[in-house]
Amino acid sequence: MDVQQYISSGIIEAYVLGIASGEEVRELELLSAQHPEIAAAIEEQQRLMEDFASSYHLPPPEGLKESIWDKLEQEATGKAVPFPAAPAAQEQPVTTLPQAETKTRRLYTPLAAAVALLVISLVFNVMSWQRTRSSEHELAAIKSQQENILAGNRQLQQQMEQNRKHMAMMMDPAMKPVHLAGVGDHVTNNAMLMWDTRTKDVYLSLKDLPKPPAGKQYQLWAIVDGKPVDAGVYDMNTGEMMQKMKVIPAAQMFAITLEKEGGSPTPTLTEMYVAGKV
Amino acid sequence: MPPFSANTEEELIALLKTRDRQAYSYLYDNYGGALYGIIMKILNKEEAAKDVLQEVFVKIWQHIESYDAGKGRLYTWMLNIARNAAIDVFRSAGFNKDKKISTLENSVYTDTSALSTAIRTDHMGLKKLVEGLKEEHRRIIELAYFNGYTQEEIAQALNMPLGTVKTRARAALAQLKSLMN
Repeated sequence: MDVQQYISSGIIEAYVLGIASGEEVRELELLSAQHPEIAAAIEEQQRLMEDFASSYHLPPPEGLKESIWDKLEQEATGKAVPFPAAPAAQEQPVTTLPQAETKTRRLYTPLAAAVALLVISLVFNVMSWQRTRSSEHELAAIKSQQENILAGNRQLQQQMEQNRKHMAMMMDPAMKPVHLAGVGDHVTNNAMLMWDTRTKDVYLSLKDLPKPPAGKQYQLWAIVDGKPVDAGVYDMNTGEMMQKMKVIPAAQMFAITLEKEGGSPTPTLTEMYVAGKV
Repeated sequence: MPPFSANTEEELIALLKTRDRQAYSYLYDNYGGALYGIIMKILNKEEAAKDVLQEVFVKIWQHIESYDAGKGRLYTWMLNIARNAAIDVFRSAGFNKDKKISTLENSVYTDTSALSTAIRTDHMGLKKLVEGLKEEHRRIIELAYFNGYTQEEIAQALNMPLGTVKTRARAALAQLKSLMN
């Protein structure tokens, strides 16, 4: 670059007048370190401005030095900057500050600062602790919510799978549906039975029957050649819509009676709820 | 202003960095008047100028570690602290509310005469110096150095292209230098 051209561009004058932009200042300081001519030109202009400023020289008002001194003394003690003892300090009016006052100030200001810091720190700690605790609570709540959702999801999936099986069963031409209609006092009740003609498995749905009293259970009977054959008891608590009963190779009729829990060897005919022909 | 040789200035700075009382006392005795004069030139108000000079010494005390001799002499550094502090006060809300001066621009014209009464006998040369400057040179120095205008603001105030501000600044300082010698 052309150093002379740079020097005569007015950038140095702008710099010493305080109007150079931040970018110009950085450039100038960089170039000044590389080119002694630039550094010399800057110094020349700075001296000019120093002399110009000196021409405005005005004696400061009486007592200002003392009040500035007090301020610096506070600065020294407040910031805990060690104020070096000057050997000839005695001659300075500034050092006539009472020793005790200075010591007290020296002691109290850092002490006050320390206490303030401690209080700030404590408040901050309590706040962070509370924030952490509430975060933990929120996290626990979210976790339990997530578990509930997952459990619900699993239940839904199981139910879907069951429904799919039942649907497949209904659509299967080999499955023989048997409608069991209400008898006697129970005409309004119905039950549905599916009989697999290949495996002879019997599936029963009792959704429509009233909940049996405690200690009682519904029992399915296959009527084979006029005789009742136990086809198993129905568990109302499984939640499964179609329950697999016993294998019945042949039957002309099916009937359901209410029996004691676990089932009876022979049906209680007065407690017959539904029955249907195959 | 007693001139410092490079050696004594270095020594002074080293002492200032140790917060040596006598060094600060020396600083006040030798530079306080010049700094106060610049502050008064900008603010033209004794009470405010006293506060600013105090602030300037506190800043010197606090920031003497960051003073970089490579960027200029101590006096230049202190002058810039004083100028910036005074300009900040001048611009602060409330400073001008009890003065009739409504704009910064106005003060540039008024304070030359105001100052000439304030500067008393030992500064008779000053008025002559400023008056010796061409009007366009006087204004750019005042707007830049005493009012803290940016190049853009100066271009606008003096109704000149931004690109010519630096050229004008150079011409102004060249004339100032010839007047000072």
